[in-house]
Amino acid sequence: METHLHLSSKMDALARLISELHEFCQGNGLDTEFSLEIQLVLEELVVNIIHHGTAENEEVPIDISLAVTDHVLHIKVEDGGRPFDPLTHQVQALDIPFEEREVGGLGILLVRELMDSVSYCYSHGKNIVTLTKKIH
Amino acid sequence: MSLQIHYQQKAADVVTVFLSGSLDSNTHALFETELQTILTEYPTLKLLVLDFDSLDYISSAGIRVTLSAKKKLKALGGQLGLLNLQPQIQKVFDIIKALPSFQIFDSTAELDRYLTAIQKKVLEEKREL
Repeated sequence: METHLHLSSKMDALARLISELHEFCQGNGLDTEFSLEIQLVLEELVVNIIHHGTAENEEVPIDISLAVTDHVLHIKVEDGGRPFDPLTHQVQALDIPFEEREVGGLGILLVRELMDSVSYCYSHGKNIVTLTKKIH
Repeated sequence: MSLQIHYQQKAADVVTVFLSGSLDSNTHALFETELQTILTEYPTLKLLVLDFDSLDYISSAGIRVTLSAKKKLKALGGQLGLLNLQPQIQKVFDIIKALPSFQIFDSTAELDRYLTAIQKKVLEEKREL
């Protein structure tokens, strides 16, 4: 089963993303713990796109596709913002004063730990993050 | 993605904040505002306890605002404690390795024991003077 979500890079897009995500997870028999983890992963990625890939007041389209095949959840997050590889973010030490970059660093740490695989490429003017997570 | 907050004084210079719902990129500002209100209302605050019993979701924005709250308390000579973390919340703190930064109470009983011990210590110190 597959679903595609099309959002704009506005913070209120997250609310819609969440309800559609949970609908998808329920439809695929994924439990609450699993879907909350996926919600967290998608929130961190979308927030990074908004903060780092777009200028203020600039809106870019974000396309998210979710598919389950052979007990693996496949996610693809594509955005038309400026080239930005979220995986290159270093995690800052926790006692450094907070800046935007640190939020991104923490977010990507969560994404890496919660997913089984994460990869990035820039192709045809789009940032593409591909992720997988095994469903137990 | 909504957050409800209410707070009450637990003991002298101790306030508990009850957070319900989600502490994330949309709701963290609400918590920051409430924190400012609390710090203004209780300028001699020594311990702020965040009761996460009804907090179902936290993202890095929520962790960031929690760490920032801890720093504000520390600057005032106070401490921040976390209470009743649900497993999925604990997991997020674990991944970011943020748990050692906080005083964690597993239950209200544990918090009460901590407060009693502090009060006892304060009384003993007064007697010695």
